[in-house]
Amino acid sequence: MKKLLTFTALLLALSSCQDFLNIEPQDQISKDEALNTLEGIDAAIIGAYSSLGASDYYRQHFTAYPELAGNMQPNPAAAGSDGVAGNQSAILTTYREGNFFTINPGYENNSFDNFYAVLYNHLNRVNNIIAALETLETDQEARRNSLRGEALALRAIAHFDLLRLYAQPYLFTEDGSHPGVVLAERPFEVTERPARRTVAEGYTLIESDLLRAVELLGPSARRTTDRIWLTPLIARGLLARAYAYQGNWAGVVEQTTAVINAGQVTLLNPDDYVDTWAEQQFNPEVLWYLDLQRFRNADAGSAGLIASIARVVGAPSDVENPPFCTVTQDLLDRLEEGDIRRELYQEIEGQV
Amino acid sequence: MFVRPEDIESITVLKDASATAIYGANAANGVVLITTKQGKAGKTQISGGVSTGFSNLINEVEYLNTEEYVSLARETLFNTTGENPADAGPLNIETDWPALTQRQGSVLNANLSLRGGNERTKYFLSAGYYKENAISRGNGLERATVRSNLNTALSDKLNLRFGFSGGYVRKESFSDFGAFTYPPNLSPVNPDGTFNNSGFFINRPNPVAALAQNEFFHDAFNINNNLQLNYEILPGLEVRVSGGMDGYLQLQYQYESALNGSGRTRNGIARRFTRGNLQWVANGQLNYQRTFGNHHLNTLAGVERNKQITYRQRISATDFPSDQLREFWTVDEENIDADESNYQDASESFYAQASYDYDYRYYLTLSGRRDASSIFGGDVQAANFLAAGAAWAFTQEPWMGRLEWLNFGKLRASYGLTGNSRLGTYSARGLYGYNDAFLYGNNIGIAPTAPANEGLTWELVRKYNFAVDLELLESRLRLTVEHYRHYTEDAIYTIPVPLESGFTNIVTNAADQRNIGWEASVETVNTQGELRWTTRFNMARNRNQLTRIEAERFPASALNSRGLVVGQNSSVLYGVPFAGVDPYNGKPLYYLPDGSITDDDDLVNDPANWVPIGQGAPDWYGGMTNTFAWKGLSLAFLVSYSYGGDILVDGLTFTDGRQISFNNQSANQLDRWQQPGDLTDTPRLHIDNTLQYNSTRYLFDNDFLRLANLNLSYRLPDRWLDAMGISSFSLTAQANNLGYLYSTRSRANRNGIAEYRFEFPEARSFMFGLNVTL
Repeated sequence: MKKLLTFTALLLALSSCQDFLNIEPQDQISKDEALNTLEGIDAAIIGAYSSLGASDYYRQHFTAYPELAGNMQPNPAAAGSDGVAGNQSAILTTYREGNFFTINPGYENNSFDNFYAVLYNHLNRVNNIIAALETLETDQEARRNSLRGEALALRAIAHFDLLRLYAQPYLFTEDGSHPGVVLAERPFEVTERPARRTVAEGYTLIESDLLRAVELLGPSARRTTDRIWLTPLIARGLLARAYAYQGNWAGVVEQTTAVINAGQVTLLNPDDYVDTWAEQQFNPEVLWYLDLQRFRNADAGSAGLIASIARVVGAPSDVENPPFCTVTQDLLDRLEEGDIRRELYQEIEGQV
Repeated sequence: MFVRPEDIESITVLKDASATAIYGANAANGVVLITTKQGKAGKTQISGGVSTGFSNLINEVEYLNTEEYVSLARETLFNTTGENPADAGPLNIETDWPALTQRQGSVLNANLSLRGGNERTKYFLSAGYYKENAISRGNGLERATVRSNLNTALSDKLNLRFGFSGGYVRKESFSDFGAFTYPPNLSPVNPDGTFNNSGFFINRPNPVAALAQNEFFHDAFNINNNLQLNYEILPGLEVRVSGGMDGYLQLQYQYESALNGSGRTRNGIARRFTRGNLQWVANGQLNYQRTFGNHHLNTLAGVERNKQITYRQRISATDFPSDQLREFWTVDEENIDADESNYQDASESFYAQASYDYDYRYYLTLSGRRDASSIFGGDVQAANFLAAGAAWAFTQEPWMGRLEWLNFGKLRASYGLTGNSRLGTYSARGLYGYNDAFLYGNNIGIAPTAPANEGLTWELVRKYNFAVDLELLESRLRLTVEHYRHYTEDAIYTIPVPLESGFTNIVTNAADQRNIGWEASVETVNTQGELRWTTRFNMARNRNQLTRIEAERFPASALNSRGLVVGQNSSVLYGVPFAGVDPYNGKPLYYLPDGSITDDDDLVNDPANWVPIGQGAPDWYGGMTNTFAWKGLSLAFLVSYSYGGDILVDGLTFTDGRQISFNNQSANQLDRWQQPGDLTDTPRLHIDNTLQYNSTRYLFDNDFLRLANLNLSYRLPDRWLDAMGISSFSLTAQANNLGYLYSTRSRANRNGIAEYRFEFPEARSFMFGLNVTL
């Protein structure tokens, strides 16, 4: 028995302490380790693309928000056919607030105030990548540059959207010297309080990021053949749009001409217009799609299904829920009789 | 691990630092030692008991009935649109949602144990069964457990102890989707008897249909083994080696049927969640005890290692071809989603303690512990805990002599340093995680999940405790008064950070605070003899004060009324005082700090205008137990109390029209303002009324007396037992949570603090049982 005790005591004493306590977390990795290879940075770029598809960004609220200001209205039928409006879903509450201009940020279950958090979260993802690429040791210079180009373009998109949401338009003052947004040109310390910059400074950063993206983006940015990955032409397209907001028409012409001359996009045949939506056909006018495919079958209740916002052609026909919104008469009145765009809207129980 | 109350021999609570220090990082908030029953030498004892009982809800919120609801809903719509509302739903349906989703709860508990042995070998065996049908329908618990231990002397110097326990639990946890606030004029069934799943119920599932069609339960299995060897090397010197292993497996299954609103859009959703956990602990300890004349010494030193491995797996499937066949194999592969995760941690500790006393007069205890854990990662490798305690039993001094009135008196003081390891793995370095939310173009992405925070460290608590224990009047009066001063440095807080950082909050050492308090307990024997009446009374007071905080006064969400202000108690609630309702237009009015009155929501929502309106923590709290024993009969009741605290209640059911279209409202809404000149505290109904939770309108005094427990038991007299040949037989009747007496009463047919205090009402339960020992 004494031997057993001695043996156990030895076992406890001998097994190396360092190994015993050295356990790597299984589902998370430290930031330094995550971003110390090109593969890791590539995965982080995917993570940055994926935030464009957040429900508080392009997947839902960012696209619904301006529409609710005039083109769409909450659907009374979604409230329930039993008479009393019966939909407590946060989505409808949010849309009602958007439509009535009664949004009160930070208040109750309002979702519209999440733009700010989602966009700066995206910028943090992007800036960590840009910072890591600076110091990364690699012999694949082309791939490093291409990743850098993608990150810069993704940064420009977020700054452009922040300025559109949280600042007066560029032409509000003559020189754009009015307050814009905080510009995330580098990863911020977590408790840092960066100052708001002017709108002009914002557009300058967007322009320089996109111009560098045009230079840097290479073929390795295309991971699949889908048009969902950034290319120099897409960066030019984004740049043209930013110039348009600035009233820099010469810049718009320069960039769009370059896009058209590249020959990758052609005008859509009007006969195919409705089908591009109804049959989800390829639209030759489109330079860039955001990949939201994986949300198509998601739960409407979890703010996922795009078709549940308003019913356009191409929405799955088996959806029984009334859409949350309908098209306003104001919008329909603007489309003359015979306008092909009218065919995009479905009529359900008297509601368009 | 499941421990049944019947298997517990004793429970000891350790609070001051000198007692808790050798338990290390996990003991920063105190230690509860649970000692389970062991075998006893002597005649084999067989004990058994059965108890059963029922429970009901108390202090339920009074809601509007259909007539009231429709009338208020119409009024809200009229006030909002200015038009006569076409319809606010049918008037001829009266559904009592709480009654449909709740029932009388019931409990059944049975146990059997065997205890015995001789001088060399002792054993204890027990088995128990417990079944509870909770008040919420579809919720319940069923549990079966076994426990055994064996203690045997292998030689004069070597002792072996072996223990085994295991159990099975089945838990049902149906969600009723908050049905108690569903509008009362919706029917759960259609005229043809089928479940009503249209309209309202598309997005808020019909709970009656879901109860019949959904499933949600888990099964859990647990096995625990431990082995301990004690060897006496020399007289007074003993070595102990022990090891234990604990296995846990949980299988959860949830199905939301396509037939009702919960699973309709996805044509049935099934989720299966599996969690397995294996933990082992190994411990070696040396004890040395020695008495030299009047000197008594007791020392120990030990080492402990612990490791746990957890594996989790989650599978979900949608689009079931048949609602009857709820198996994963019936679903197309593309509609199945799976995920898994692994987690491991390990820790190693060294500890030592020395206790000494001289002639049972002067006591000294020193203890220390060093903890190292894998979860501290690269941040902090190990932490040390030190404590010292001293006591003086002054009544044992020869010069005190024998006092008539004072039987025993002791002064105690202790000081200790403890820490708290509530840090996640690698949380100081910044983390990236994989998540299916980071998918794009069929590529898996990674993204930051925690920000880097280099300075993150353990929080440190310095604890000072002082106490006096007295026994007076032939020990008929026992008194203990304790004073503690706990200073926390670098307290770990989750604080909001500027959103520009890409994060919403961080875990950081943001604050220093102190907790200073008093605790007193008095035990008296009021009458002795035939009737024995004893009283135990205790009272406590804690004063918390923030002495440093690196955060904004009010966290980002306007719903958070807790302010973080240096020099203040961290439970202070902030908001605007409610000034009643404007009799002219029915708008709610509030006081601003300058004394003016406003109805402007923007001003009211601005934290700059918030002032302290109450505090969550009470000034005083405690309880009193009285026990009466007369022959075999014993009656005990416990009254607990709390004074000086306030509570901000959930305003969901008094939203002044805002939520009336989809949530039934409190009966208090009947008092709403209707026309100029109305004097009321309830504003005019309007669908766009904003809610100002942070106001005294939703604040209530939480001062109460609670009859927490009443216990009546009867033990058969020995002469009867002897005649029957059994050693004990008792009957017990027990009531829990009989009721509350609040300092403010609710008006008749209206709700107040009693009803609003708990979001889901509390239960009152009654239990009846019998226990036999052969």
